[in-house]
Formats: sequence, C-alpha cells, structure tokens
Amino acid sequence: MTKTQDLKKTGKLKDGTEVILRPMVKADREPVGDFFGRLTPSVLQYVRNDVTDPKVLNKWFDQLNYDKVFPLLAFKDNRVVANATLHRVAYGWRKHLGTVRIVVDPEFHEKGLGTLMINELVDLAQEFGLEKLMVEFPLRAHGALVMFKNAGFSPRAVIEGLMKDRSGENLDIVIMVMDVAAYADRLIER
Amino acid sequence: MRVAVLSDIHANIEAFQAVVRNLEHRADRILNLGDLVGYNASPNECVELAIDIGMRSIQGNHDQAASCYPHLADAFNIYARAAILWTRNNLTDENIRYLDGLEEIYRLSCGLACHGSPENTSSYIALPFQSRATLKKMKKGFWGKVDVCLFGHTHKRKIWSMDVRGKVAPVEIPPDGTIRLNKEEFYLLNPGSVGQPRNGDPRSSYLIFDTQQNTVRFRLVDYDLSKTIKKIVDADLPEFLAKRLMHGT
Repeated sequence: MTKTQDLKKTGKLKDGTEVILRPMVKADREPVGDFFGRLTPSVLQYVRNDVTDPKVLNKWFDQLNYDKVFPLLAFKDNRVVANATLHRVAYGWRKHLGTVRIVVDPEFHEKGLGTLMINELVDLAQEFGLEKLMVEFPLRAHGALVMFKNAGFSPRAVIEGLMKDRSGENLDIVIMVMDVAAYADRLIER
Repeated sequence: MRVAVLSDIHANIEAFQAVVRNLEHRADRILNLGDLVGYNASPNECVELAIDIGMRSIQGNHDQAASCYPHLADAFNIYARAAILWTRNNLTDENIRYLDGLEEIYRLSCGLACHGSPENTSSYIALPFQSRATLKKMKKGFWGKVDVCLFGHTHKRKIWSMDVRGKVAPVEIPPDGTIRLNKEEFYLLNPGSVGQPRNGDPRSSYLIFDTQQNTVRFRLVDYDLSKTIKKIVDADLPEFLAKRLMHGT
C-alpha cells in the first residue's frame, strides 16, 4: 500500500513559497509538538484542546483515525507550518456534514496558506462523500473570516456571547457553511 | 435505438466486465461518459476492453490528467493524485494515445453526452443551481436541439428535469429503475458509476436509454469486489481507495 506519508502534494503560496501538504502520521509527533510549542498563547487562544500539553498530543497520535478526523499538515523545510483537520461522523443526521479546524503559523498568515489547506480539505470532503462543511470561530477573528470566505464558505449565523475567551469575556461566534459540490471543481483549469 | 450509458469505469475491470455481461442483447450501442482510468488498478485492461467492444467513449478529467493535460493532477486531492500518477506510470503509450484522442462531447440524435457538464469536463452537476444552469441553456438552444444531456463525474445516479414552466427538480428513480421521459421536458441523466459508485450501494451502476420509447432504465450489477480490492492492494495504491468500494462511497 502507498504509505500515508507518501500521499503528498506541493502547494505554492502568494509570495512563491512552496509548501508540502500531506496527512499527519504517527511519525509527526515531534514536528507537530514543535509547531504548537512555537505558537504564542494569542495564536492558540481559540484552539479547543490544550495542544501545549504533551499528553493531549500523545492522545491525538495514539488515536489517529482518518475516518473520524483527517489531519492535514503543511511543511516548509521539514517544519510544520499549519495544521488543518476535517472531522466526520459515520452515522446519523450529521453524516453528510464535515467540520473544519485550522491553525496556521503567524509567519505564514496572509500568504494564502490557510486557503490552500482548506481547499485541499474541500477536495477531500468531496472524495469522502461529504455534502457540506461547517466551521465556527469568534466573529472578531477577521483573518479567519477572510480565509474561509476565500475558500467558498459563507456566514450563516452569528450567536452573540456564546463563548468566553481566556479572560472570561463573552465572544460572539460566527458559523460558516459551504456546499462541497459547489466548490470542489473551482481550482481546475486547463 | 437502445443506448447503454456507462460512466466512471475508473480502471475497475471486474466491474466493467460484469456490466458488459449484464447488458448483452439489451443495447444496440454502448456509450461511456468518461473516466475510463484513475483510482483503481486495471487501466490498460479497461481501455482495451472499451476498444474491443466498440464502446464510444468521451474524455473525463482523469483520462485527461493521464494523457493530454497531466498538470490537472496537481489540482486533484492527494488520493486521486497518487492514483493518477500511478496510472500514468502504468498505462501503455498506445493506451495514453487512445485517451488523448477522445473527444470531450458526443452528440446523439436527441441529445448531448459529456463528463462533468457540457461546458467543462471537471465541473459538477450535483446541486440544484448547477442543474438549473445547464437545463436553462438546453432550453434556450445553446447547444442546438438538446432535450437530454447525459453526464457523469459525480458517481451518483441522478435525473434532473425542467418542465414547461421552467421548474427544475430531481426525479425520483423508482425501485424498478424505469422512467418514461416526457417529450415536453428537458432532462439531465447521470447513470452513476461502473467502477466506483458513490450512492451508498457498492454495485456497478449504468443505464439504458431507449431513444424510440423515450425511456430510461437504471441497472445495478454485482461484481467480484474482492478481486478489485486485491489488485489495488497489490498495486500499492492507497488503502482508502480499496475500502471505499466495499461501501459504495
């Protein structure tokens, strides 16, 4: 079988930088730990798990299951520079719906890396038979709003004061959704 | 005339052979809506069987990525890309030339055949707004007189219709798979996939379009899945491509 780490492709960012995209594999524990370790608390403030805790990361790697969570990494010079995940459920009313999460190294913000990663997840969602993708994040994360809009998501709801940030202040949450089939062929030009 | 309409065979020779056996005496001609290759492990066998049985084929996006437009593979997702690179390395030069020489559109007396949409091999007709756009153009005579457009690419069997008012709706496929088309309406017909169905049913899917009776009959065919899966494993193609065949996803 083709090894999962051999399933990779090269992507080009707006400034011409080339990055490698590929699924996360067990051997990536160290570079992924380095990646999250490099990020400041402000970058990690909206991440759902404490990714600076080695136990949390160990659990991720121990429980790697692409049918539930498909983790995609971006590498530059063997260094992880972004992590995006596509979450699926195998049964029931959410079976057709995937959810997306992403963290990008600030050094690579506004270079198109986030959009590149999301585009790949949209193509994979199509391959996995998903019909819709959803993402939720704080409304004030304007960079994320632009990134997901560029990838074809549109805002469908804002829920005021639903979450709290680390200082206990209320956060408004935006929910963005996309129809996978509407965007899966957008990149293909001859 | 009875036209057997196949699509998205995707290098699955066991499925392709089973469908050819199944359609014996049921069709006067065989039409393939593209993607003979990609994903699975028997691209040469599928091209050669297509030629042997005199099947009329048009190009799909995977056929193009394996022949005339190799750069299309860069826009494929990582699984489809890995499979198309393997395909390119394993196709004979003669079979690459065959795929390269196929046309993108085929015109029947009553309609049009394409892979994704009449305008783009890689486009999807999956959502109401996408079907509406194509049906509107058919109604306006954008491609001449076209009452029926046969398309593939989504791997899901489907019918969309536009009635005299211009209302577009999906048509439910009855359990016996047979539908009579209304001459006043315009239709988009997708036979589903022979080699990698995604309707949640692992059986190969195709349809028979009787142009005189104006009927469409969808058919589902069992094939030896275990053989196809073993070939994918033996070819070192991604495991995901083997697993999905079991579920028809």
